[in-house]
Amino acid sequence: MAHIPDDLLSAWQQHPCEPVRLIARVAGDLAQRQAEITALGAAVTHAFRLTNALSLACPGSVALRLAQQPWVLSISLDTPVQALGRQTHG
Amino acid sequence: MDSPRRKITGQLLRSMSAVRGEQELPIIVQYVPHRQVLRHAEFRAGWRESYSYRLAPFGHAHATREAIITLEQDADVVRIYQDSPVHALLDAAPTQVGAPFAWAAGLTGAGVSLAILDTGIDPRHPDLAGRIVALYDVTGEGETDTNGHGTHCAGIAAGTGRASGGLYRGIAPGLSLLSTRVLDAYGNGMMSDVMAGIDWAVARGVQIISLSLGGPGPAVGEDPLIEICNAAVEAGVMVCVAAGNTGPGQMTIGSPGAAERVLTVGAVDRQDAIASFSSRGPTGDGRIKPDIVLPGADIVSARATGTTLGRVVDAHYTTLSGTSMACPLAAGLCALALEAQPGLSPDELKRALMDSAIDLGQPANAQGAGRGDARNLFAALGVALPAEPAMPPLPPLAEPVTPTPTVPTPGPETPQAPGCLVGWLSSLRRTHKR
Repeated sequence: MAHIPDDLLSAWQQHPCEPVRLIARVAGDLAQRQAEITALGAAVTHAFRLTNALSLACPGSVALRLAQQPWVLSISLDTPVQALGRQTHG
Repeated sequence: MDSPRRKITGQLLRSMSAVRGEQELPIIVQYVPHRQVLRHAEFRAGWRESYSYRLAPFGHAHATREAIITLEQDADVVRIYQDSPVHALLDAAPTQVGAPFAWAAGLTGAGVSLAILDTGIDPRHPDLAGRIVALYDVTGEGETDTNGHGTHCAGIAAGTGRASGGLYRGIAPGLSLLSTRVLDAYGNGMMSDVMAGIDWAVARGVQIISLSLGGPGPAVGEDPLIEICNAAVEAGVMVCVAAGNTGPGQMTIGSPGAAERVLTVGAVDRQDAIASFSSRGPTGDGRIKPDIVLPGADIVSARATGTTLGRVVDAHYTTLSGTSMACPLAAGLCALALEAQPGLSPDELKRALMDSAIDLGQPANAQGAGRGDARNLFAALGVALPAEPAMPPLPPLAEPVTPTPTVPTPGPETPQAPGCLVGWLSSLRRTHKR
């Protein structure tokens, strides 16, 4: 079973149509996994060769199906980042 | 023998012709040797003595036109100059960390490549023109820096100071830059966009990555962005990350600053005091962070064309604070070190930076190992630097070069999810980016 936080699984079950952005680490050939994830109904946004991972967007119901795949190692939420410069006053 | 009139410099004569009555001019008087202390303190009408120098026969005063004319008749007076404003040859941050000593050894980061993952870099800026060797836009908004944050960071690391006569020079002005736009016009992005930028930069063979971005803390050491940062280090790339701006509370370092193998950089002010905003450790899983601190308060650097970010200095420069500013300074220090010793691994370089940092006497989770310093770093690496600092020559104004952008990976596609509303994916990026 893939490493997936319980709160994520719970959220997908409660809101199966809610869009989510995720990052999944996978085992095996990255291009093949990208095709398989697309076939499940997700849209792959980036493939990361350094960590054999993919970022994707999909509804919660698809995320649940993805979580059942034996080649999925972990799934995390894709979260916002921001620039760390601050206005200088004075 | 000079006529009395020739004791007054031409600049002062011109100023004297423009003043009237009791209006005073600032002057510096040169006396015959050893007479300045005695003569400069004498009372004269229209004269305010302010200082008599000990090391040379000069004195400073404010004097009216008539007082200057009287003064030049004095046999002990050799020459009368107008006091003039002077400007620093270099802004504070590179000097604070001792970069001019590395420059004196001819080190400028030449031949070293740095990827700035940010809001883009303005290739038209005179300090950065011709320096950008590759572009990549992950955002879909284009390579242009419409925010200004990325250009400011690039100037700190690699600006030549061309538009300021060298005053606002970056720490490694010989660096080659890869502009990787992962943040939108508001300085926001997604973790996956940053990961895509890292993946791209590593595939391009970059030597250093600078990440002046992050999410909220505390972070532990295992989210996907942290994993790819650690993987980049494993692949031989030095990764510098801003600690964050949510200090002074404890456990305020987010992702990717909490990554174990990167160099996490906090900020100090010009007096080497830890900036209050600089995020503090420990990480969510109890490790000490940041690793070092560097200047990050009131940093003047390149201003992207048409942007208004920060406190604007002039058409080409603006002032910002933040660990965002300290991070590219660290990246530039790394570039100087890699130019001197290209075989250094990221782990070796990080260790040398930390071992050579100046202990500021602050807690480890505020200062890390201390404030980074070029002279100490090169001493630790066994590289002898000259005893006197120096400035690298200003390069000629280069023509902006626009590299061919790399085609990004495909964007979102329409999902095939029965029972769910379709069409939301096309607007997903806008939904998640403010």
